[in-house]
Amino acid sequence: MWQVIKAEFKYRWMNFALFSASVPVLLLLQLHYQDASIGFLSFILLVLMINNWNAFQIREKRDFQHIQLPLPVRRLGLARILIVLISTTAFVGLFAVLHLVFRLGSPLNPRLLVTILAGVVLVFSLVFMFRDRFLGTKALMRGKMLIVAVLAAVLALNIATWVAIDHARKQGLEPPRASRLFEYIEHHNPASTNLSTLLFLVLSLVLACLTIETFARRRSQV
Amino acid sequence: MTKAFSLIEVVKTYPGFQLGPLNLELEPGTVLGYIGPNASGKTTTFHCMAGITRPRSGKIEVFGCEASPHVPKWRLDIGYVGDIHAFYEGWTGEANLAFRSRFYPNWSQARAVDLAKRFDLPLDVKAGTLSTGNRVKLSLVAALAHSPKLLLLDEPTSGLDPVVRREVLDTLFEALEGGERAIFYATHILSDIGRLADSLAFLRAGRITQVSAKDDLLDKWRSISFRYSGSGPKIAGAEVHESEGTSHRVISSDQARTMGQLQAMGAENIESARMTIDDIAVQILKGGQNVAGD
Repeated sequence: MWQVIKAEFKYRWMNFALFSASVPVLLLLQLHYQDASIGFLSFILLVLMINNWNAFQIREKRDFQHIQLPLPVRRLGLARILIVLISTTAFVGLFAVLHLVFRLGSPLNPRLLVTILAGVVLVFSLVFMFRDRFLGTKALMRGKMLIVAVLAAVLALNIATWVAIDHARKQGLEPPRASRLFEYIEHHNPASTNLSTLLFLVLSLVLACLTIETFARRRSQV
Repeated sequence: MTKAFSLIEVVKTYPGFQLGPLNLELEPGTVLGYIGPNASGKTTTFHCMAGITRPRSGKIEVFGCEASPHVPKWRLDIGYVGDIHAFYEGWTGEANLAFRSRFYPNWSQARAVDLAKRFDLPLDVKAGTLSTGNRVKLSLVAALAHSPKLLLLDEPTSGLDPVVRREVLDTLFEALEGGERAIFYATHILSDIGRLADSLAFLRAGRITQVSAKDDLLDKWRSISFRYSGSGPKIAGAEVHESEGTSHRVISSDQARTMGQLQAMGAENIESARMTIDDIAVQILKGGQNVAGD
């Protein structure tokens, strides 16, 4: 199993190196300018990096290659989620180290770091489970299109709401109702309390473990 | 004696198609050719055997071990070349082989290099830039380098030029030396089967219609011409019967029965010609009957 993980990191080292360099830089910029959107961008970058690895893995049918190796299928499933976990932990760890070394102004929020880690693992666990369930069926393509459409709609709604809030603020108007939702999310997200962070982490790890089983239960590798 | 593989009531279903129930086995030291038209289920059979697709029901054994995805010891005994040649595209052939070598205790780097030379395969080129033929060769090298006891070859020579194709077939013959190894081989190039196979299994619409020893087929099948002036004789064992006036030609799957009947009914100028395994296979696939039980 470790040979597979090692090979995957070795194969996509350029991808990991580029993102390794950019993510801490973005996070540090966020701290410097106190602009949350930069931090959000780094989260998107992290997801994109792992997604890029995953897309290449699918395109080159490396699952198909690995499944033919004399390895228990659950170990291959474990290797897949470990790659996500290792990458994310490395980035979050790198950020924490940089933060401590350069003694940046704002205090380090360990809950936020754990939430980012858990969030990335959770997102990819869901993606893997979806793919395992529908691999080899026409539903896979329809599902992918649906996911992209939902994400695009959420993003568009998000931007539209921010624009509306910004407009209201500049005009001295009462903020739109949606801003209350934003405020609510700001104070009630997984990083809000120790307990919510822990629960979020546990949830993501449970889902991560489930992906090992869904991988083992794939009906087909093609 | 332990079979090289056994398929026991294996069924795989897709919307609008069912493969099986398949019952098939192979003795060590022999080659079984797998013949069937497109979309008859050959590749699905190989996918089930290589653990790429999970059968809906049934059991697959490789040298007595159940082909379980959770206990993969049996995978050490097989070498598979199929319809998809998956590699680390950005790595050279050499790097790809080095990656695979780590999982097989019996892997011989010297054998891999030797095979690449024989197949005229450049190992210092990235897999992603290899031609289709060279990708097939790389798959063959990867499948053979750990000296597996069972080779599962699904159209392994498609896309190869005649010289390399011959080299591949020679290599497969050599692999059989010693009598322990077995090959399960599907191809549309029937001359390859004629050269290599000991027995043939015919697949049609997901069902095995016939399994016969190649020599039995060659002994039984004949193209027979004769003259007969009587009206419309029904010839025993005839798969094809053409006539023009008093001249008749039949393709018989049971030459002894056919010849016996022709002599008994007083047919004249009887001439019997042997058929090639290619022609026999084509006739069986056209007819799709269980000729052996005829």
